[in-house]
Amino acid sequence: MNNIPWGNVFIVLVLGFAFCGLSWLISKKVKSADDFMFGTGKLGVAFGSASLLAFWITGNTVMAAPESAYNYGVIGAMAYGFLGGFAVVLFAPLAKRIHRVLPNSRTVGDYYSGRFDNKNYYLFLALSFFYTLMLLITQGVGGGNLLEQIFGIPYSFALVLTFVIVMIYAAMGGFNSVTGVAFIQVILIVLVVLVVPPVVYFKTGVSPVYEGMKNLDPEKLNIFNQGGLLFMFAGCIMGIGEVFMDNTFWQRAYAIRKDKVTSIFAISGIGWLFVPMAVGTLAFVALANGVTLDDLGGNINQLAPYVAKIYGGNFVGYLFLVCVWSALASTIAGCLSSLSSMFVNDVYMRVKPNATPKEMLKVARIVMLIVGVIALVASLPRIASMLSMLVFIGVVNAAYIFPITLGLFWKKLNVNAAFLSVICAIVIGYIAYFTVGSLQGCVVSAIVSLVVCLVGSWMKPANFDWELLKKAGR
Amino acid sequence: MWTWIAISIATTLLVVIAAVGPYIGLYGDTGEERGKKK
Repeated sequence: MNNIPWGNVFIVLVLGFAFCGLSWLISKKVKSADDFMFGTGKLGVAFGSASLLAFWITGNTVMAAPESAYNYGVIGAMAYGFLGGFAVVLFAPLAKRIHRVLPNSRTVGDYYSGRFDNKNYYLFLALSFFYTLMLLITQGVGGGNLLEQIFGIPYSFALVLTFVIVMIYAAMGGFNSVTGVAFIQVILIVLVVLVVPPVVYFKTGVSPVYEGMKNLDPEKLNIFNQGGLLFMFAGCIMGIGEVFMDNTFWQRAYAIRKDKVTSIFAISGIGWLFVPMAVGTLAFVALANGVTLDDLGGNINQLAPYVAKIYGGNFVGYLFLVCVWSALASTIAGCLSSLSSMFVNDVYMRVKPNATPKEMLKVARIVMLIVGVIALVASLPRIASMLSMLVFIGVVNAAYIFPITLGLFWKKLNVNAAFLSVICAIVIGYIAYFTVGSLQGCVVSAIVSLVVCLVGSWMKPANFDWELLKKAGR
Repeated sequence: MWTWIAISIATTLLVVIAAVGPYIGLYGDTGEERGKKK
């Protein structure tokens, strides 16, 4: 206990206390289980965009974007911005369609059960839970690493601190609390992203960074760097898969006002892409000064906090702590809210369709806490870097892009073809992942699912009645 | 590597076409026209 830097712990506790206090205030307005799990369906531009940005600016955005810039140079920073931002913009037409054809639905599970058959539905639910849990673990590992290596808080203690605070505030008011607190978090994140890179560059100078990169690693200045370009476009498929499959985006598509849904997704996607680009530029300072993996304690994800602290000074380092921790907390809270609402809506309500709102509320809170504890325990062994974990799940995400999109718009999509497409895409995608390359695995997964969907539906076209979707979720 | 970059770009374009399909009449009956007539 003597080794714990209590000053740094105090900063996290103050932030956590503020988030919990705000959540408590918001939770007073939560009147029903639906408010807790899905919100009111009236989020406007400000809260809608803030909630989307706060969820999507994850610990990965702030810590893995510099990793990408460090690996691929200038194109790496641009690629990370492109892969996440473009995915959200591309979800805009889907969100509009979701509002039109699924007026009574509340989760992506409702869509799957209404549009597809049981085997598709259960496979999707299982993989969706797996994906969200993996995303939670990446955030946990990122948070633990950050607080330990840069701010000296022991890893296990840092994990417990982060998860306990987030579980408390997320369980207080559910979706409403998560989106309300997200508004404050996104302001903090954007402020820090606007301040930290300029301060670092003000201290190091732009020309010395450029000259340093030119002398030490000129290839990183090449915007036609092949690895970077592959990351940009293959990564884009991974990002699109994440967004399309993630219940968090569907929750927000339902919660945002119908007339604003397209613009909010478009604005959020464009706004998001500047965050990883800005943070990614911190990697250039490291490249120009010959910072190696050894300097980062062997952990590439510590690059941005390291540069902020070493080249920006202690105050900038602490500002960065606030930013990254807020990003991690908002994403963990979003995942917990999304998983609990999916569990109650798609599992519990099927087992116990006559459950009272009070029971649903209780179950939603218990699920949040259980999932939080599972993610906390699973984060204890530090597996891989955040980016490599994301690419690994990316194969599953990519397999769902076409079944989800075609299922929303194309009545001829055959449900058996959709099921087979996902299985084939995941199997062949992982073969490519392990034999050709990780990013290629995501691309192969998407292509295989498209081909199987098209061929299967061409051989035996369905004639789906869109009116059936209107009943989904009732 | 360039081959994979080209395949990735083509796949991304296919996703874009699939997502904006209704605006270019790709899917035929999407159920929305029927809704409007009612």
